[in-house]
Amino acid sequence: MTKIEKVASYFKSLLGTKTVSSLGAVDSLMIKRYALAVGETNKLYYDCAYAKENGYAGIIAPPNLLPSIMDWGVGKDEVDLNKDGLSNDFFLLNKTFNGIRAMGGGEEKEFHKPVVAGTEITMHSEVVDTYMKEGTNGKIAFLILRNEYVDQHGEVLCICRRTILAR
Amino acid sequence: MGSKLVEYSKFNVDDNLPSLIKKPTKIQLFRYSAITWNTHRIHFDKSYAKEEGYPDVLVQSHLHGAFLTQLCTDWMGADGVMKSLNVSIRKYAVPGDVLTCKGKIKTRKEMEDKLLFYIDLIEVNQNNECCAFGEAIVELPK
Repeated sequence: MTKIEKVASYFKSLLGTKTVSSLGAVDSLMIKRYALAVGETNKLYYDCAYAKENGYAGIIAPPNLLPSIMDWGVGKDEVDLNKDGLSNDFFLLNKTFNGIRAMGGGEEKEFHKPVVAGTEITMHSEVVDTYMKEGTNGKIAFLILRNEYVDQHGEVLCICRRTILAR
Repeated sequence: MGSKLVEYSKFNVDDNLPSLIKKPTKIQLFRYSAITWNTHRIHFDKSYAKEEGYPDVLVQSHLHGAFLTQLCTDWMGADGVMKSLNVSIRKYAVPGDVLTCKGKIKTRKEMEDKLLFYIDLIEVNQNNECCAFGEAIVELPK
């Protein structure tokens, strides 16, 4: 079995895996800093009075904020990070697959409810699909994650279907 | 608000959104990695990015997505709601690149009390190479 075939087999073993993570609150400072970082000037993300005038309970997050957070926790100690700066948790590959490069392969997002400053977020994650394809430079293993973000009332905020590919 | 509603109802299939130009900088990439708690060296360590074969640090894939998001939210204004967004990255971008985000309405659906616009999205660099592409669905009141 080639290394990529082993990765594909490993991905297959993850199929159906579900995790629930409590991500904490998205506060107004986080929203404003994120909006500034992406170059947004929309007052909905900065000005509470303006947001309320437009029907929101407070400032809201730009739609892409939830799926863009790479690590909601404290993070790993530097000694536990790989040479690229990422931990093995990031693309679900463990250390036995050294030499395989994993990366994001696109995302499909549905936005169900605005994320108002102060919302407590829980993420329900599931590995929903895996497959292998022939690329121009050899085989590629794919893994599809479905992440559902809900608020403190259990209402769905955002559903993100993320493709991870390894080659 | 009334005049904006009239304006949105005039948008039709094949209409273009006003384009959005983004010029990513190293400070922007640093701030973005910081706020998203992203330790991937390829976005802040030039010597590492060069080891990986790139000319400089790379714009984060979700930052490309954020640019395409802003293209739509700037157009739809406070009355609009983004319902969905699909983004795929085609080519890397680096600080100093000039990224032009463009959108074209491909479908317009008229519901009882709202309009739904399906928008094809693309982000190209200064050499007109596609860096990211996708689709968004935006809802506006009728």
